[in-house]
Amino acid sequence: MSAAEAAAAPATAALEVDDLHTCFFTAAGVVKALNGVSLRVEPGRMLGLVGESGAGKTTLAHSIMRVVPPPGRVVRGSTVLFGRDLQKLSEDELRNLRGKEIAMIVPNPRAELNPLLSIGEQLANVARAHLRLEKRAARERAVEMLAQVKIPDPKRRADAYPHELSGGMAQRVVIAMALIAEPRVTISDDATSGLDVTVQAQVLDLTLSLLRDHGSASLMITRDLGIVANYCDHVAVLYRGRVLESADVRSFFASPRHPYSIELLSAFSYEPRGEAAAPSLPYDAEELEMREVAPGHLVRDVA
Amino acid sequence: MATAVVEVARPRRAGKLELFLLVLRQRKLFAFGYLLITAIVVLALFAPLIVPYDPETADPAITLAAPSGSHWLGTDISGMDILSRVISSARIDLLIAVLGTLFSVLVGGPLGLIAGYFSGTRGLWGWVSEGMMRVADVLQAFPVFVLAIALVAALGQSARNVIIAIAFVNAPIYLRLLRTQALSLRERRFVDAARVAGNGELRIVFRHILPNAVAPAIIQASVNMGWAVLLTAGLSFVGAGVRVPTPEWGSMIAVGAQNMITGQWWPALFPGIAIAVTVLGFALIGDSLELMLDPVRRRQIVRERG
Amino acid sequence: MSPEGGNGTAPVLEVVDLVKHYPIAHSRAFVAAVNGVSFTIGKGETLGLVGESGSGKSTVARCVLNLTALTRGRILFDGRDISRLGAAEARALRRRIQLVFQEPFDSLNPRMTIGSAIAEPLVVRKVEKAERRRRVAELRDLVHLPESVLDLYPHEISGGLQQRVGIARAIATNPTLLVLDEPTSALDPRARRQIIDLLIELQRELEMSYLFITHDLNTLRHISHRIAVMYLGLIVEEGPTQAIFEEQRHPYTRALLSSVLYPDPETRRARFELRGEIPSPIDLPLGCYLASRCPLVVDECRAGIPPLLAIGDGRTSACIRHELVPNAREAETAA
Repeated sequence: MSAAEAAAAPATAALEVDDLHTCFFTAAGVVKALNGVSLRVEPGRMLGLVGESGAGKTTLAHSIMRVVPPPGRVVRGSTVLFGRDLQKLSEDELRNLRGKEIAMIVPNPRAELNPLLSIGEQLANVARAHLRLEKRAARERAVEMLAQVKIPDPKRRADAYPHELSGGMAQRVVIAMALIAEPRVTISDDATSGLDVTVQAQVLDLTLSLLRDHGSASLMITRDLGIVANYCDHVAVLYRGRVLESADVRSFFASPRHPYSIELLSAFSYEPRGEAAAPSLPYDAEELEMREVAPGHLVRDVA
Repeated sequence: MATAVVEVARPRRAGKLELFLLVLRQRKLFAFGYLLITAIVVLALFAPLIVPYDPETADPAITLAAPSGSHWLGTDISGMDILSRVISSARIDLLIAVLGTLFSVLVGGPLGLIAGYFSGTRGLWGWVSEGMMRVADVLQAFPVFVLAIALVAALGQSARNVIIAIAFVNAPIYLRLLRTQALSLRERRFVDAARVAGNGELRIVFRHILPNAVAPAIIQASVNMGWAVLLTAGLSFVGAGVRVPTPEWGSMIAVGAQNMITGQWWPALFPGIAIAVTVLGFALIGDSLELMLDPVRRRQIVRERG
Repeated sequence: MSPEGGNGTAPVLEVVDLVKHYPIAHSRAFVAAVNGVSFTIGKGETLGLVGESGSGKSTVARCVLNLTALTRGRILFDGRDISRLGAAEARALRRRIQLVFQEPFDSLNPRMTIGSAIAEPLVVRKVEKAERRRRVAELRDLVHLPESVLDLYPHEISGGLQQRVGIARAIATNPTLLVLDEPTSALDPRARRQIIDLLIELQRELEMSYLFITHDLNTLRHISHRIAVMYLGLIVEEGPTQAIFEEQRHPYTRALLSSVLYPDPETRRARFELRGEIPSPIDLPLGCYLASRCPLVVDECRAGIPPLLAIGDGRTSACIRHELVPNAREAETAA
């Protein structure tokens, strides 16, 4: 991270990722999925991390939570949660933290939920594990949480099994599960991309208001700039394992600086573009410094 | 009109040989399997040059001689050199196993693809598909060994007929295996796409489904090779396979077994070890192929230990 | 490009009162996927068929492509009823109605190189080798694929390039009509935009008609001449693209459009929200299918299914209170 940004930032970040490198050691060679990623999420704020497939978004989420699947491994860097470096904790300490201090919301809720337990039981289990509640209280907390994610008739619905829920409902249950222990940081990885548009908007509105109520900081990983513009405070653009630009949302959308950001944003515009139909060139991934172009607006130099 | 100026970087493909060598380096047991089978094949190919004695010449002067400097593995009841016979046996046993397995794949595989692709459809092919499965059910209801004996008995005792019997009893395995493959592959979008592109049904089966279904068949075949050796030897052991004095592991054991009770263990033991080693070698190769050909398990092969 | 399309000439595709019910095993009930849908597509015109899951839009596409039999109704292609063809005729027709799939990777055979995938429709039709090579080069040029991809395998190229291959295959036999089944929804933003631009360019050059199926209204914004909005197997609103984006005349269209998230932090819009969940297509309500969720509902709405009626300016709506649907601009200022 540049000196300029470090000086401007307040003392404790909710989540601070510094110079993170994650590699996959495959039979075809070493793949550098993350190549020195640095990010900072302030308490109570939402950082939108945009990037296309292959940018390293999911690897970043996995690296922060320290659940990178083999043959991948974090080789360098730190991920600091309120002053504690997650990369340095023991497996036991980490297990206590996951779900309680830092939680993850993933897409495909049906894969995430246990088909053999009612959603009430699953929520109560999380509450018992992390909040040390006894059985009755945990159940009450589960129902309360279902009400918060606007599941109609939560008392009765708590007895429903995952297959009885629609996609939008199941996604809300997953959100309830992530938020039930009131984590201080939430990572949401493309969590609404599989939903219908009307449902997506409802789920996002809900997530946002819950995160605000709980004062939780969050990292919203997505490839949809619409989501970032509508819900996030800050934005970071990830490309081939590097952050190319990071800024306040208003500053970014008013004047994106990096050529990649500009092309990405233009892909969302409604103006007809004529015949520029050839596949776009990959951007240069030279290692260059981030430079501050406006207060809090950093852009990686172009070679 | 704008022309494309972009050149797409050729992605680095992990070469098949490279992958193979990585697997051998990381899994020593697999390397051992390849070593065993390579050794057996080399011995079989060059048997006439290697063997110390003629495997079919009996020397009545030295019947049932224990292992010694001149006869490393001893001699059998007719005075034939056991080392020479064990080595020479590999020729016929491997030949029968390879050809038997090959024919069972060639017969069972295509039928299985057709059975799977047309399963549950209306019309002629649907009926053919159903019919084949019922025939396979009936065949598989018999114990493999009993069925093979009956076939050899009916066709006449010869190496060729043992091959036919092995092909016949194994074909239903490939019929089922490739049927399952075809059943799941036919649901894939690229099959719809092939149909929309105007492909006829049989062309879809052999041009689109088949190339995506061969990997499991290859894995199965390599494991089956070991079983085929066992079956060949078994048939000879009960007298339904290759006849004495042609060197063959099963018949060697059959002959040698009579001497076990009187304490001469070597005529039966050494061909038995040969069979065990061959079956083990093929099984290990099968496992290694599964690791290399299955895209999910392939990810476990890593360049460095994580 | 004329926003009207069709302009007087006979339509390329005419779907008349299409109904498709899927029977449920061991039951007299059925899934009412499509409940009476009519539309036309003119030469060189794009109709965007938009709807969420369960709207029946993909079933309409399958019927048009002859991949499934209809329950009732007619599908006329160049004036000829194609809904009840024999297998041979159906195969011959496939040359003229082609499909571009949603998942470009899944729709390509993983064991076939890009070059042979593009050549395949030509091989199937026994085009000779020299002509085939010429045509593959031409197709490659049309979809702006670099030559270097031809001997690669599908998993070795990006999703955007894969979809270009899918399009090249689809146009290989010079079809009149392309059915585009969510061709961009699996793609990254830049690739999505490039594919849309490519499709617009190809339509202009080759005069194809498009039936563009999608769940995302925004995708249709500059490719579609007209938009038809589907909900539970019915078209609830239809009209020129521009007009639909400016002013929605059905509550469902309004809800869809107000859910679109624009990449602009200065215009966070007021949501027009529907209550509850979509009814089951096995047990449809008696009146308007939206009645249980609609904020504008009155008793009359439940009396019977409101027909799709002309409301002027080349538009139709199936809402009896279509004049009361709030205008997007009013909503924006109110927010």
